[in-house]
Amino acid sequence: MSDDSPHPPHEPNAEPWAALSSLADGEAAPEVQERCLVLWAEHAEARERWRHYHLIGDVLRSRELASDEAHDAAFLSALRSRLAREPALLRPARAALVRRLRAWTAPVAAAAGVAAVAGVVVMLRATPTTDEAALVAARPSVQPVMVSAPAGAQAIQPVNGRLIRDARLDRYFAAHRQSATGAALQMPGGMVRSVDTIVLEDR
Amino acid sequence: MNPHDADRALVQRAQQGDSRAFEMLVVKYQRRIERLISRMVRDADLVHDIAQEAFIRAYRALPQFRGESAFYTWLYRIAVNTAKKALVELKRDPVSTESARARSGEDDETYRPDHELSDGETPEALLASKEIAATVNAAIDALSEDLRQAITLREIEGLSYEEIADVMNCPIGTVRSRIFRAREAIASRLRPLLGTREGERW
Repeated sequence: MSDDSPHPPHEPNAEPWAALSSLADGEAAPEVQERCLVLWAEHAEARERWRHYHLIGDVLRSRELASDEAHDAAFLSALRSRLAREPALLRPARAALVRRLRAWTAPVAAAAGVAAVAGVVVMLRATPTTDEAALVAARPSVQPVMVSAPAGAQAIQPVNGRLIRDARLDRYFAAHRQSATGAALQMPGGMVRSVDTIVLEDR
Repeated sequence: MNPHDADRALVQRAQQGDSRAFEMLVVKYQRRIERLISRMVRDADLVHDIAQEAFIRAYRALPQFRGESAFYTWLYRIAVNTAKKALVELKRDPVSTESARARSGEDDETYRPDHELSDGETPEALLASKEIAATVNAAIDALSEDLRQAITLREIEGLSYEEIADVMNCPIGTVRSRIFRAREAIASRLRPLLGTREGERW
């Protein structure tokens, strides 16, 4: 082990790099994994070591795999830019999210305090964030969800299928017309049998 | 997920949206994926582009990865498919095919000597990678028997820590420590080699 390698602050010994080494082998306990991710994000030396550890393994298996740092760094940098433009990953467990959204329906509907307007749609959010990116993220693999008006809401007639218009939703649908499937959006006075709800995921 | 996949922890975190975990996987597999693609495609820029595309596709498909195969197997398949698609596109589009062919030297009129290195490597880059390989191998030879055996069993034979502990008849903690120390010893020889080329990029 090199005696002259500097250690990151707060670490008296080489233990954090040993954690990275064990993570490289898939042998790190969960709390160690978390520490490694933080090291990765915050210390260039951690990123260099991670790369070196894997370069060493690659070269041991095949001399052809030796490659220079500039090339590899450029690759990661370019990929980062592209990843930044990708919508956030949608997590599984949609069913759990749907259950949570149904619990949200009551307070949202009641707080809106709007008299029942037929043929409108509620857009429910799983998180308080409002940026457009989250809206776009919901689009790719969202499934339509049946949401009925809450039985206990007082400001709204609890008629099945009647919901509240959300101005953000209007803008969103205007921008993403193909997402606005279903009859829910324009049926004044009509009974809405089903509604497409955009389900937004937690990050 | 396959419990023996060394990438399991990082993949699960990446699936939960942790971009750090995904990036660590990229750094781990980028060289191998590029080499794989370079066996199908000669143009170095195209290899880079296809490799980027493969990782983006893998990122998008992460939610669907269930761990029935190892992560790298899955990534490998995505890379092969991405390269195949790119080759089909090249055949279809004569303009880009023309420039790709010119770059790869198949068109005799535009063939240039520096394209003899068909994967697009400059002589300097080739020398550098030879030097890196030689340094790693020299460093391995210089290790003590215990450290060399531990890292060889891990990296070449692919044994788990537990299996290595069995083979070497020592505690798992000792295996962990030996592999780490072996890596550090080799990395310390690499550092001056790599440090002289570029300033800090990470």
